[in-house]
Amino acid sequence: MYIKRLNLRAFGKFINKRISFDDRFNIVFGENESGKSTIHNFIECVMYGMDGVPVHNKYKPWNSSLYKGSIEIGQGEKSYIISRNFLLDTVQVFKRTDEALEENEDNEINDFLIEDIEVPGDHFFNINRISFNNTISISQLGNKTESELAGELKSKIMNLSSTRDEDISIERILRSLNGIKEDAGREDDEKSLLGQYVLRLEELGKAKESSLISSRQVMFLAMEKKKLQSKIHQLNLKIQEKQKEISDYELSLEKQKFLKAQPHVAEIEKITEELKLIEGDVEACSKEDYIEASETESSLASLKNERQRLIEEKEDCLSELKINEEDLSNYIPSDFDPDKLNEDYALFRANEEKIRGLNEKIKGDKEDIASVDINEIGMFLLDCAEVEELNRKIQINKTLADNMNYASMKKFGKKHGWLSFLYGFLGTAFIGAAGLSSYLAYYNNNADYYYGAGGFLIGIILFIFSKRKRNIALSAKKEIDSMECQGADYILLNSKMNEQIDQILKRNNFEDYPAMADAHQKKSEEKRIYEEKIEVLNKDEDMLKGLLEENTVIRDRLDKSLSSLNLNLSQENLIEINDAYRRKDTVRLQMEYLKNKIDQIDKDIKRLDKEISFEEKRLTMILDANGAEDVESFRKAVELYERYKGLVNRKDYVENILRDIIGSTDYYELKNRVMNVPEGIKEIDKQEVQLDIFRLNEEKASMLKNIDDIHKEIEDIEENSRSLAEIEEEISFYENKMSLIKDKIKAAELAAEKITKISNSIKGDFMPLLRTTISDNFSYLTGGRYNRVDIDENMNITVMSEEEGDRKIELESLSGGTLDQLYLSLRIALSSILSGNKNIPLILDDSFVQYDTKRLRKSLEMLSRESERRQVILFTCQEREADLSRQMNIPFNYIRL
Amino acid sequence: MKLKFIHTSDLHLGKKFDINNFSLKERQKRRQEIWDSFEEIIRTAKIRETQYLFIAGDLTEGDYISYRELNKISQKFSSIPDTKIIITCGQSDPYNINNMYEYIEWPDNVYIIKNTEAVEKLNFPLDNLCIYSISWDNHERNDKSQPIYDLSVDESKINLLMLHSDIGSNERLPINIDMIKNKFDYCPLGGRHNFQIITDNIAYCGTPEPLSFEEEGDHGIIAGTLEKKKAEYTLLPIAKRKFITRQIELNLSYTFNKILDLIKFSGDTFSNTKDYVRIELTGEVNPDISMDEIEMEAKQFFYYIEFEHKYVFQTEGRNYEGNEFNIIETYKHQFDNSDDKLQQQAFKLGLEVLRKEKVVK
Repeated sequence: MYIKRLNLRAFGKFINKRISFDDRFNIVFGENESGKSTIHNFIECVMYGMDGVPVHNKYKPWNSSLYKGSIEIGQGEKSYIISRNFLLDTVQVFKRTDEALEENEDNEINDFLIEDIEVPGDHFFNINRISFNNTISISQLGNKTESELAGELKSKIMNLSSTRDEDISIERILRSLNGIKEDAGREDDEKSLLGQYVLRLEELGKAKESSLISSRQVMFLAMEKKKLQSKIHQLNLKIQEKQKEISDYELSLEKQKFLKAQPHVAEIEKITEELKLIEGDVEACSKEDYIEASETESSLASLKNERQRLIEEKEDCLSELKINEEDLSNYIPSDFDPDKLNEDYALFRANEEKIRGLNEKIKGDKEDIASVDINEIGMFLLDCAEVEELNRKIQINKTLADNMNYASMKKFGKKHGWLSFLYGFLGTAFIGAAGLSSYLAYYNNNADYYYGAGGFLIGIILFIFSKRKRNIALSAKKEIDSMECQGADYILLNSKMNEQIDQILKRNNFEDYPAMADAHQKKSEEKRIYEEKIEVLNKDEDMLKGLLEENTVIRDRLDKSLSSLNLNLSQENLIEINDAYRRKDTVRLQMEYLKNKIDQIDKDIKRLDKEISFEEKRLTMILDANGAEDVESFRKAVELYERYKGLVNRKDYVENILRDIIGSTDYYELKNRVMNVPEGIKEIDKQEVQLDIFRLNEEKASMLKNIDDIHKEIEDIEENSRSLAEIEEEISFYENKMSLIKDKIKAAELAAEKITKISNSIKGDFMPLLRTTISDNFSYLTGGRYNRVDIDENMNITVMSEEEGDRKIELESLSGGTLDQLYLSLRIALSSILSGNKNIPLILDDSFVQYDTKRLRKSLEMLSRESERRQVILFTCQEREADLSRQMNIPFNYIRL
Repeated sequence: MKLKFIHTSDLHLGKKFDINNFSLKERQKRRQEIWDSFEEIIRTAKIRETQYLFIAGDLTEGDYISYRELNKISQKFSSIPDTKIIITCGQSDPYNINNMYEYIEWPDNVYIIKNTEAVEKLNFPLDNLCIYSISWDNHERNDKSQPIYDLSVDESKINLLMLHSDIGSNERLPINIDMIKNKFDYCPLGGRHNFQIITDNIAYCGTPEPLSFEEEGDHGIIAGTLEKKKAEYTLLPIAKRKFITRQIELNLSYTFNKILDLIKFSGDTFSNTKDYVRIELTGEVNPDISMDEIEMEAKQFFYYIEFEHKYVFQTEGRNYEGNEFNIIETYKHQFDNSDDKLQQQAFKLGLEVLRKEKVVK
């Protein structure tokens, strides 16, 4: 059987790739990544199908929607085409009927379809996928030392001999199964798991025992308790009996009470009746409120009286205040000075006295003066004075006329006339000189002559002097002329004045002047006295005038002072004022006192008002609170209420008495209770009976305490013992575990037994076949150099060489090349055995990469030899194999990818 | 007037669990859950203002219940003073010298049937009710059926027959239904752990909490009303968890994940995370699939899961014409379709070791 042709219609990187193989030795060369593995896998996938999704995806073509291919297999004369669609995972096998017809996908219909071949690999190679991978594809043995190679080979053969699998060692399997047993150990071995479980179960057994004991104890205690309880029950009955005795006795006592209570109850009922009658009208008013209300009312009245009294007092004070306010002293201004007033008044009176005196004196004096004719004296004195004046003028005129300064005047005029001429002349001279000098200077052109010009100035000054002297001389001339006229006038005048004198003398009856002069002396004296009198009069009048003025001032002042008080100036008034002034402070103090008093009264009234309003309100409140309209109706209500209360109190009192008699017991209940109780008392010693009850109770309490103790004991026991259910569960848990372990051990023993049996049968059946087949192949491959491979009972593997006279050679002594041959022999032997000697193809994938040339030569030689029996396909990435084969003249089909 | 009642039985308070696959912790927890259910019954009785609570035997596990626990029960009963509690002693709590019920102080509303030889009659004239019952006195057998048949009842009253009985059995107080069904207005029965209506007036209430995989389905208490000739009742499920068995038939073509998914999705997720699930695996399994691994993984998705292995490992059909190659293939054929547990275990163990050897290599 051989693979004729591959048609990778679409697989991996290959699209429509066809590869044809020879039925002998084929070398497929392809560099790395050229697709050798793809082709190798293609064969597996077509023959056995895709092994899992990853493989499916790995070779799914990315540039084609198809995913299929076919393999043509030759088997003797026959030829089969195995076509697989990887997308649909369908496979079809066709038998070629017409060799001449070119295989064609589209023409497959021409071929004969063979049904029922699900796995072509199984069908054609007679081995499963695993075996296919293990045997047909032979991987290299590895680049190891010869002894390692020998060891590996030995173990492979040994494993195969005992398990038919080169990887499975029967020793290890049995060891592993035995390990399960060993891990579990034995029940009598404390250190092992089973031993531990046994110990644990013993402990649990003890715990169970103790738990059972505990529950028995509890049961016992519970029984005890039950007994005690029944005793207590008995005691209770006894106690009840005793109590009955007491209660009977007490009932008869109650009967007595009832009898006592009866009249009181009757009274209570009567009061209740009475109360019912007035109950409707009774309002709950407070007597305290009423007392307070009436007190409030009387205090209100007294407050009002007090207020009235205060108002009256205030009226009195006000009128008194008014009198005081109207008192003169109040009108006296603050700056009023009574001393000054008195002083003024005294002065005024004194001045008036003086004025009266003076008026009288002046009157006398005026009469005196009126008696003298002063005009006549005056005329006379004027005439005397005129005469005297005229005389003196006459005298002066005479003097003037005689004694005039006429001569000296003339002299004076002349002197100044001369001086005027002189100055005029000198002036002219100087001007002339100056003119000359100027002329000379101009003419002679000599500067020194100019000095002479200074003479002009002098000349002018001299002219001025001359002018003034001339004026003086002219005035003196005119004076002399007037003097001469005046002298004539004087003489005329004198004569006129003499005439006048004469007239005057005549008029006064005097003859001459001296007589007149004497009379003049007398008259002058008279006049002097007269004038003195006038002077005195004037002085008095002045004085009078001064006094009058002064008194007017004083009067004004007094009037002013008095007018402010609305008083006239009089002695009485003055006294009055002085009096008023003196009592001024007293009045003021009195007024202040009154005002303060009024204020105080006002305050008091206000305070009273407040108090009154407060009290009124209070009263209203109290009345309102008690629902009374006025104090009177309130009083009536209170009286009613008091009566009601009295009744209630009485009722209470009687009820209390009743209570004292019957206690809190309801009377009617009592009545019912004792209705049938005879009136007599059956005396018992209550204390004695009670003591009995007490004793019984004591006994009961002690029993209850015992029960309590039992309770505690039970609790204690149960708390300290494990739950039986838990213990038994644990026991069953461990027992179950032990049984599981034992089962497992049994199972392991059974498995080991089976495996040993199988192994033994393999050793019996398979080992001889393997030995023979390896020997045959080894002999064939070594060209008969080694004729046998031997495996003995103890799994010792030896080879026998013809050359060395059938001596047994240990594998360790073989060369690497020989070991390779042995390995290949083993592989071929296996494939032969597995496939049932079908001579299925041998596929080697890069098996010799690490071989040196010598070893490779041997291997190629060996393959060439094998290819005569079956198809050999060698995948390689090196040209070495092909080159060497050519060198060695080995025929082969060369396929380059 | 209708009488309100609750009918329960077989609580087995304090029970010891013998389910091998239960961990010790789980057994303890389950025991507590039965106590919780008991409290739930008390609560329900209170809320529904139940007048009668019938406990038809096996209230406790007599050999395992402690004094303290019984006191606790008594206390709980005293919390529903308006409910009259009638207790019959059953197979697990027979009334005998060892029964602790005798030594507990029960409240006044509790009536324990202490007569084990003759039928005891409880009369409740206010409700016009008569209850007849007989208790067990041992764990093993009870065949005192005759006294029950001999009963004559006052027809004017509501008559109840409360029994702990397996009516169809030979030794667990067997009763002929026909003998009682017309005589009584209602027969609250105990002794079977699943809810079961025998006739309209005869019913098993089952255990409030199921105790093993034999007790599947809904569990709880019977709640209803009683009148003369008329008992109306229904099952009130109160069980915290159910025991559920599911069958999964396997097929040679099933892969690891397929089988795991079949297990995972065999029931609803809520049930999976709450109930006790047993998976019965039947059919054929490829020996290349590690069932141990599947079971380990499946545990992640369940509150509790256990497996019953009823499947067989089936090697691939083909023999290579007697040339089955290596020892593994041969080994697989050695155990063909053996139903024996040990053989199956041995097969699995050997295969496991062989495979490991191959893989390690």
